[in-house]
Amino acid sequence: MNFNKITGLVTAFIVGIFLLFPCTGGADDVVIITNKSVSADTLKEEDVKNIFIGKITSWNDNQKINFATLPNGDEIHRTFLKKFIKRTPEQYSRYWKKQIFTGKSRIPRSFQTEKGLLEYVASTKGAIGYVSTGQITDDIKVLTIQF
Amino acid sequence: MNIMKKFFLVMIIVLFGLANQVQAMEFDDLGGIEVHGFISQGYLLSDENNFFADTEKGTTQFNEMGINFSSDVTEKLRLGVQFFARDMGTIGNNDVVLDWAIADYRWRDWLGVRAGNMKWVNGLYNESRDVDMLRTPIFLPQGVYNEAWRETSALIQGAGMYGELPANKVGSFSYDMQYGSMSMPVTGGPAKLLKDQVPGGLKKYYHITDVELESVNVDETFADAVKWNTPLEGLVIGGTYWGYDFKAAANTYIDLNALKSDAVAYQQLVPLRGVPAALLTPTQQAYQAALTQLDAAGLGAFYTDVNNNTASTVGLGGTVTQTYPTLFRVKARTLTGSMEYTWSNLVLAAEYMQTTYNVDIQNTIWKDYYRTPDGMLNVPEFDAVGYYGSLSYRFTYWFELGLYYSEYYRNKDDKDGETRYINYGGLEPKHRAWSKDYCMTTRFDINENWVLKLEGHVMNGTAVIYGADNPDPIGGVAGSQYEEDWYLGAAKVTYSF
Repeated sequence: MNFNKITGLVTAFIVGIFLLFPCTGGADDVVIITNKSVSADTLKEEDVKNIFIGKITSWNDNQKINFATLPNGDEIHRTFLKKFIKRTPEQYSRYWKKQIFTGKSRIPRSFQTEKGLLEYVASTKGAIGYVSTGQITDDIKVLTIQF
Repeated sequence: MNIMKKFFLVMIIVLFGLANQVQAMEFDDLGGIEVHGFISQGYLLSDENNFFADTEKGTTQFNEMGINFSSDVTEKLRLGVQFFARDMGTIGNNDVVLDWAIADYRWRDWLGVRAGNMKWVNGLYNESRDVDMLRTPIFLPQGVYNEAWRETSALIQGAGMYGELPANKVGSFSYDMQYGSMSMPVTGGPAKLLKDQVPGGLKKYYHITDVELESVNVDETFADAVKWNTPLEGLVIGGTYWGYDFKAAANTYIDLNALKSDAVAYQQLVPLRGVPAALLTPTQQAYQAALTQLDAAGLGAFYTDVNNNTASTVGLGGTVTQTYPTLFRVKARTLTGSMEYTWSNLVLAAEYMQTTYNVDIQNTIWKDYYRTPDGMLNVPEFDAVGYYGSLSYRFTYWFELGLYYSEYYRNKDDKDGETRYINYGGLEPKHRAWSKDYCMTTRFDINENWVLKLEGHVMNGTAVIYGADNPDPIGGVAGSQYEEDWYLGAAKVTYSF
């Protein structure tokens, strides 16, 4: 098989794949919530990202950050990642698996439902998470994010 | 299968079953100890050349498995350990080894310390190269992630510092500094690689049949990496400087019968020395030219010694080998430059790596060849280079396509292999000097736990394969076992939790 033939086959394959799988996106709005023990009221967008990829691990008052996530496949999770982390759920999942399998970190705490995540944030000191706007309760604090 | 292997396999099966039951990746029931594992099984097939295993026939000797345990002892201190086993042809053989095992104290986000067996930082992907599901392709680009060095460049045993330094408008910087030693087994990859380092000229004139590694003493290993998370979202630029120094003792096996024959022939040629060409027949002139070549190679005294001292080995029939101790001293310093850009489902990456080698090889039997009293060969410093460009795109949550092109050169000043061909006495083809690899790979994420990959490589050149895996010349013609253009196919399935 000559090189031109291989190049042609590869090109045809790639074009075909693009046509087969159109991109998707879009979801409800997401808010960042914390436990009431957290003194911060605002966060920079960059700080949210660094918290959820494990690069910032403590609040300004040295309280440990306990962040929580929703599972892959959840639309709120996808929206949160796209808006704040700039990654897809698959990329985010692979990032954390890399941390786990190279001995650098533990896996983030994950909840199957927004309700479960909300309860965890409300009851855990230093906790931070995200939910859709319709889930907000008086038990947690909603942070203002500076973009 | 020994007891350790059996125990490891049973433990993995039990824990994989447990992971399926709970569908969770945290084991609070184990007192806060997290357990994760993976097991991969692959298949390799090449139309020519054996790629680190018997791939020409097709092989399933291509797998990895690991299981790790970690726990946060305090808010800042974490302990973890991973056991690992792999098989790739004659490398690994599924022997269970202690992989990473670390104590990690994160004092501040900008300063943490680790001690123990740490995954070796280099470029974008070296730390995770043992775990298949963490990347798109089955094989990372060989230009930078040479499979030949995988065993030795996986871990640094020692201590290190790491941290994250915010830099406001210019993004942030991550750093990782490691210092210690490394493990280099006397069998497997490094042993095969050292065999390939003995110049072919020596093999030819001294009838070296094998080089067997006896021991390795690593003096130091270090790796310093920095990554710049640029203000352009998704763009990461990094650099790693790493190196190691080691000494290796090996035995060189020499075919004395063949050597003696050459020595006897040499003695018969000696009378031709200095005779004017006009007085010689064409055949004698050819013999005289051969004599001149052997004298130029410094073999006269050696052949005379052989002729005088090993008479009893002549005429025995078959191969009579004798061992001679050989010492390798290797110092390597590598610079890796990396760039990765992620934009939505598209990931672009490119890396360049250059390794400067200082190698000494010492064996008293070839002191005449090198005209040094102690038989020391100071191999002139040389640079191996490799680079690649890659892209991957995830079309949907279950399908990802990846492409890359990679080049590798054993010596950047001899990319066409001309000099190497001469130094190796014509025993190896010129294309042993380079490797060019066009790869297309597909990744199917069946679910959160299962990944299937299929991948094809169009290869040109044979620099990244071992001579030891390709030992048999076709029709006895030296170097004919290597094919310049070849194809490699790979399939792999991985389960992880």
